[in-house]
Formats: sequence, structure tokens, C-alpha cells
Amino acid sequence: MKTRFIRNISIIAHIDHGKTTLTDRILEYTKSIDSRDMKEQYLDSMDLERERGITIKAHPVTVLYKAKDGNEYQINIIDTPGHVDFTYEVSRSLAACEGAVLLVDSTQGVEAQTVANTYLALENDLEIIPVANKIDMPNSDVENTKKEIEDLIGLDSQECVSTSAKTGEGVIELLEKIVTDIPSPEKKTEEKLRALVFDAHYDKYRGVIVHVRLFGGSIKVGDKIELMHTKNRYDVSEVGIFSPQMTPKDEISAGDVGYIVAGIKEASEARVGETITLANDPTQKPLAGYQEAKAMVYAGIYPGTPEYFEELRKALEKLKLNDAALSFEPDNSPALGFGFRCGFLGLLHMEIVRERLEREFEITVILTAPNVVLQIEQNGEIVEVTDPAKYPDIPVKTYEPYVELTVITPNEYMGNLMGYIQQEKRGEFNHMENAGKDRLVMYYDIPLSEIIYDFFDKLKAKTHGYGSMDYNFKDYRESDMVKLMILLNKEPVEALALVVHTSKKDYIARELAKKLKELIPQHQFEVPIQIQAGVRIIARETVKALRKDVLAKCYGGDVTRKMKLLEKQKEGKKKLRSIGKVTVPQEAFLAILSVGEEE
Amino acid sequence: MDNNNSISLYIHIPFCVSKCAYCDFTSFPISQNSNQRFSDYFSALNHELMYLIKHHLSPSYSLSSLYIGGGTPSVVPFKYYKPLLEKVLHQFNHPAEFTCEVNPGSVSREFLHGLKDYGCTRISMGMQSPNDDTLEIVNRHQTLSRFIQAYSKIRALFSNVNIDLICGLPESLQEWFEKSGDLVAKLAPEHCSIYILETEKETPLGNQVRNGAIVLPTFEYTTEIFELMIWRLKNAGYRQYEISNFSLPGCESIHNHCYWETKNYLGLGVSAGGYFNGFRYVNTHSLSEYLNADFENESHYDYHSVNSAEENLREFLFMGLRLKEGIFLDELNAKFPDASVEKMINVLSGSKYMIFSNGYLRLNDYYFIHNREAFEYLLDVL
Repeated sequence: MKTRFIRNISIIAHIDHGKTTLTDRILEYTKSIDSRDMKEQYLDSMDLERERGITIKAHPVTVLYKAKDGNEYQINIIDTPGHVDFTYEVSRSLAACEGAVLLVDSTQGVEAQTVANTYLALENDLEIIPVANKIDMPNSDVENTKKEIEDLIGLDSQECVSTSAKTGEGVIELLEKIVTDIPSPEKKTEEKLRALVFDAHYDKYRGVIVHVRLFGGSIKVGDKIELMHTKNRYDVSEVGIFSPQMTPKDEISAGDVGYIVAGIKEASEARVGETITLANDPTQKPLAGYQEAKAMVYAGIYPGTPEYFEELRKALEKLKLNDAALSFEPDNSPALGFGFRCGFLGLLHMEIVRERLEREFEITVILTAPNVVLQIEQNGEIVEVTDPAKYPDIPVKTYEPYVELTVITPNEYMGNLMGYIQQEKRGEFNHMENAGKDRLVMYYDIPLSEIIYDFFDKLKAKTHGYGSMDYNFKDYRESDMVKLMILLNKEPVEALALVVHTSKKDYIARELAKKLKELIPQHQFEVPIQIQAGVRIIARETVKALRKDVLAKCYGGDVTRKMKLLEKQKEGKKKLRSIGKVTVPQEAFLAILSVGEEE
Repeated sequence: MDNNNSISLYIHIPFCVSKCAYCDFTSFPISQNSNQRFSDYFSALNHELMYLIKHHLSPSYSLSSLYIGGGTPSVVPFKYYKPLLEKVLHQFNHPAEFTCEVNPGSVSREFLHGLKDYGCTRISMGMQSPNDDTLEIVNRHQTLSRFIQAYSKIRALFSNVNIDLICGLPESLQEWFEKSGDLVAKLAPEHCSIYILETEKETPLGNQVRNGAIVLPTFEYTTEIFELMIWRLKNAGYRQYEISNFSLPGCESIHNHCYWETKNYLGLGVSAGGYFNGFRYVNTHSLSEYLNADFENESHYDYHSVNSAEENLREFLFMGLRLKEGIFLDELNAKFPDASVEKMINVLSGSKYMIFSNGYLRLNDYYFIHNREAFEYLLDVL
């Protein structure tokens, strides 16, 4: 296929705005998949994605479209995730494209996340086609949606296409616009091979399969390739495109989006962002690649039983292969044994990783409460702390990450929301703008730690589902933080430690102690729960013993027996204490997430 | 050890009509032809009494209390008791308190009159629960109406009656609390013992609980109801003088007191235990072993030893702190004249479990009820 008949696009959309339905419809119209095989959300191949109705991974798919000008075009669609956690995935998708479809639900209007992703696309010099979707719905408001697209993003609403991905209305018009408006990739087939690895997955028979966008040259079966970063070399055994299943081709070339099978064994050998070139005719200039995804929150992941540590390591390595944002390093907790300290983009990302470990790798894991990365001053140097257990017990100059928070809300919820963000969440108001008819955008600086737990759910609740948010890392600011150490049965449990803002320590400690009391099962002995800040215990609860604490009957015949029995039980209890045998269920490690839920 | 010459005597009668599901005392079901059993058993009791008199008891000892317990003493016809009681009462004075346990279902007129004739002063009867259904579940064949009938029969003859209740059986504890509370208030026995159910491993109930066939109320709830009952009895004029024991003023059990004050007492019969001047023993739990025992060669013991001073102290404190008033310190100092004891008492009275007032060391109100932790602490300190 000549390069001028290729179009590489992404679809930018908020969750539930119909992106995956639109892709499905395009697949159907271009007869790329048999309607017998058509199932809802074709691209969301992970069970998890289909269940949750969200896209997590960027998925490539190739369709052939016979346009009205009589030519057949190859359209490579790289599906993108819509959740706020996965901006990084979006940027990877965008780097492989020349254009983007900005899909907006005309019943909802533009959401904060959409704005952020559109800006990303603009930064990548992508041509953008705005689309007002769901026009079949009775509450669809195309005019206002167009106005919001102008107000919030600054795109010309004249260019906007109206569609219903559900009924198919407007989809052909959109395909035509993709063909006419989006530039074809630059024709650089004669150049040396430069392929950007934008994703990868693991096949147990063929090893690591890399997903690539070719920016120059071409590649065919039998070529010897080199990964420019690692200098590792491999023999190519298969190349192909996604249509949407992997379809082998003799050759793929500049402008194409496809895959390469080359007997790559280990996940760590083919990093996303890597440039692939030919071993015997290499390019001198690797592609810019991606910025490493910056983990925003950290949490510990430990195997449910210690023997599974190695398997957990292998599973994380495989996950990392197509989840470049995941980072992990070995860790050791006195309470939980060997495990990993993992970095995630956000809470949803963390939850997805956990579920994938359990479903795809069948490893039960214990996840500890997530925390942000703090910076502390030690010996005149700034040191990053990713694990609250390692935060000093004594007060130390601390900097915490702040983000710029964008919230879009209908006007009526503004007051309520402002009160919440400023009074309860330490948000600092920046400014506010109108967005369309009766919505507005608010901009805040806010500590990341305030929004990682339940902020999104609260925002949704306070705006009856109409609010949306996005955030970007801004800077580190000095902050008055304190470490809370949790003692179970008088033993500190490092895996439960957390660092909180001083103004909130009493509230959090009290609520957390209550939560833990609910979650920790009764034992044969009393389990005191204490929360310590510095040297002071600031909250305590007790899980009552699962036994009688009344010795009601004792007479002459059984004095010796009673005393011996008591001695024996007492010894047993000591032993349990000394090995810290308090059974702590998984939920207890995440108890902090539900603090304040009942409000 | 104990230099005053008073002693208490306990006689164990290990026979029952049937065994209650929660019971782990030594007892054996009776049948039509148990008479031989009874006569063999009372003959053995007689032998043991002779042995005890010979080795431990000079006639100078005065008997402060006599207690016939079981099992169910009232299932054995009174005629078997006569020779034994005659021997006891011949050897000693008539005790100030002579208690016998009777079962409301099996007690006969003849038995009660026999007791009365031989100087019995006090009757103890088990109600356990006022709910017939509950008693049926735990294999105790008794009804509330029969209990009340038996009670009035007994009342006509005896001026001092104890009722046993068990808190925590598989039933509505609220109902247990209300009905038993009302009943105690109405019947007005002089003494009341309230136990919290213990599910011992080797009992039918223990097995049923373990395999899930019976679900018991939680310990916390049982304890709450127990505390409510204490409050209820207090309002009815009873005083909780020991963790499980309540009495109208002046009606505390003399016999039980001797256990808690670690005074001398001798146990007679299978599985019975005794404490005599520092010598502690428990008899065999096997009926056949007991029937064939050669008392002179001390083959009837399951366990016996002479306490060290330290063990005596442990037991003295462990038992004494079960009393509401606690331990009289002058008495403790007289018994254990050692500087280290004084130091230890200082430690104990400084702990969160105990208080020291008016010359007595006692558990404070909370730990008097929730006492396991306190006793564990005590054993740690000792």
C-alpha cells in the first residue's frame, strides 16, 4: 500500500462517550470483521475491560476503507484509554499517529479528561476532527456540545461531525473526513528502518510480540533487527498488521502500524518507547521515544503466600511488557515478607494491576494502601520517599507533590464542590471559566495525596454524576506532614504505615482505627489497635478476644487444673504475640481508602 | 499450713439419670440394677473416709461444713447415705452448714426427709435455664413446672436453698435473663450461683459446637447478659460475694468460702479433690479404679503433691481474688511472712486490675467480671 493511502489515527474520548462502540461500527462498515464474530467492544480484549466497560490498553486495529474518491485507504486506529489514570497510554498512542478523532458525548458535553487529551494531541501536532456523538439520544444537545468544543478546546465547530456510533449515523461521513483531512504519513520507505515500539504483549509460544509504528524504512521476515537501546539483536520470524486480529504480511513499511515477532524472550528486553532498526543497516537517529511514565502513587504488592514471590516477580515482568507505566522493585516487610514496592499512575491503574495479577496469572496478592512520593531533606539533600514505612519518625522538612486540578461541573454544583475542595481537600483555587451554556471549569492547585483515594467518587457524588476531572503534576511544595504508625497487638506493622498532613492526623487516625477494628477478625486473644504519631498514641481501638474473658467457675476439686489451663493458654498467647500472629486480611491494608466513606 | 483445726468435707456422688450435654464432671448414668453399684461405691467411700481419718484427721478437728455434690446425689436412695453420714457425724460435730445437691426431677420425699433428719441445712438445686426447650437440647430432662414443684417441697423443709443457673446456653439470652430473673425474685432463694457456660472438649455439647450443629451466643453477648443478671440480682437484694455466687445477707456459702480462702478441705469419692495443710490431691476419675482402690497404698490418687510455699501463695491469691472483698492483707502477711510478698502486693495493687482499700486487695469492678486477663496477669507476676 502506498503511503498516501494510509491514515494513522487515535480516538480521544472520555469514558462512556462511545469510543469503543464507534470503533466497532467502523470495523463493521469496513467489513474488517465478520459480523458473526462481532461482539460488543471488540477492541476491549481484556475480560476486565469488557466487564468494566472501559479501555485500559491502547489497541491497534487496521481497517481498509473504500472511499468515495474510489481509492482504498488503510486506516490504522489506535484505541486509547479514557480514564484519568491512563494519560500516559494516550500519549503513547498519539505519538504513533498523524491525526485524532475527538469524540464527545453530545448528551454530556466536553469532560475534563477530553480537554487534557486533546491538548496532548495538539502538542503532538495532530490534526483533530471533533465529533459530537450519541445524537440518537433524546437529550442530545449538539449545538451546546459544539460551543463547548470551541470554548474549551478552541477548535472550529464548523468542522464538527455529528454521529451516532450506535445506529451508525454519520460514521461514513466521519470516515470520509478522516481520509480527506488527516495527512498521510510521510513517505520515508527509502529511509533506514525506524520503528517505534508503542506496545507489546506476551505470547507463551512466541515470546514477546512488539507493536510498532514504522516511521522510516520497512521490515520483512528474515531481517535481523536491533533494539537500539539495549543493542540486542533478533531474527524476525513474522511481521503483520492488526485487522483486527494479527494478520501476517510479507513486509510492513513506513507509515504502517503493525507487529513484529522476533523470538524476544523477556519482557525487559523490549521496552516500550524503544526504537527498532536493522542490525546490518542501522539508522543513526533513534526516535524520540517516550518519556518514562512517572508513577504518581506507590503501593506494596505481596504474594498471598510467601512461596509465590518468584511467580509474582515473573507476572509483574510480563505485565510491565504492555503496561509501561507500571514500575516495581523488590521490597521486604516484616509483616508481609518479600514482595514489591510498585509505582502506579493512579488508583484505577493499581486496581487493574491487582486484578490482572489475580485473573491472568492466578496469583493472590496483598496490596497495601497507596501513597504519593514525598521528598524530604536529609543531610542537606532532597531524598524521595516512596514507602511511608521509611519516612522518618521525627518531623523533617517535607515536600509533597501538588497537581493542577481541572474540574468541569454544571453551575449548580459549584458552591458545594468549592467548599469540599477548599475546606476538606486543601485545594487552592486558581481561576474559573465558563464552559458552554451552563457549565464551568475550575482550576485548582491541590496536593496529589488529597485526590488519590476517593476524590473522583466524591466528585461524582457531589455533582450527581455530571462532574469530571483531570490533573497534571505541577510541583513539590513544602508541607507539614506526619507519619502514622499502626501497632497491632503492640507490634508496629510497617505495611500499614502512612504519612498524612498534620491537620488531618487525628481524624484519619480515629477513623482508621475504627475501620481496622471492623476488618481485623477476632483472635483467641485481645488485639489492641493503636495509631501512633511521633511518640504519642493518638487513636486506639481493641478487637475483643474470641473467647470468654470471664472465669466463672472455680471450686476446690479443680484449682490445679484451672490454673494449669490458664498457664497453658497464656503461654500459647505469648507465642502468638511474639510471632505477630495477628491475622490481617487484605481489606485492612486498604482500610485507609474507605476512611470518611460514610460521610 | 492452716493451723486452726476446722475442716470441710466434700462427698462426690457420680451418678445421674442421664448426663447433660455440657457436663464434664465425673458421673455415670444409672439403670434398674444400679443398687450393687451404689453399695460398692458407698463401701469405697467408707474406706476412703477411714483412710482420711487415720492419716489426716484427729478427733480434735471440727467440721465446719459438709457438702454432698455430684453427679446427682438425689438419684441414690437415702438408705445408702445413712451409714456414711453416721460415721462422719460420729467422728465430728454437726457442721454449721450441710449442703446436698438435689435434682428437681429425681428428688423424693423420703430423700429430703432423710437429709433433714441427718442435719442437712441447705439444699442446692440446678435450674440452669427456665426454658424447657433449651434443657431438652442439652439433654437435661427437666421442666420449669417440675422445678417449681420441687422447690416448694424443699422450701417446706429447708430454710436455706441455692439455685444454679447457666448463662450462655443455646437459647435467647434475653429470655433467659428475664425469666430467670423474675423467677429468682419470686422464689427468693437464699443463694444463687450463676455460671457462664463452658464448653469442654470432651462433652457432647463441645462436639456439637465444634462441628457447627449448635451455635452458641457470642462470648461478648453472654458476658453482657451475665452483667445484666448481676445488676438484676443486686436490685433484688443479693450480694455478689464471689464471681459466680450471690446471696442474701448472711447466707454466703460456708463451704465454698473454704475453697476461696484456701482452708483445709477433704474431698471424698471418685474425682474429688482436697487440700490439707499444703497437701493437694485429686482422686482418680475412673469409677472402677476408685471401687478397687487400695487406699492404704494411695492407689486412688490421680494427682497429689505437697505444695511449695510459692505454690501455696499462688493458690491463695488465685482463689482469694475471686471473692468480691478480696484478700485480707493482714491474713496474707501472717500466712506468708516474707518481704518479697509485700513487694509483690505493691506491684499488684499498682496494676490496672486491682485496688487496695481498707486492708483488702481486690479486683476492681471491671476486672472482677472480665477477670481472665487479670488472672493471667497475676500468674505472670507470681
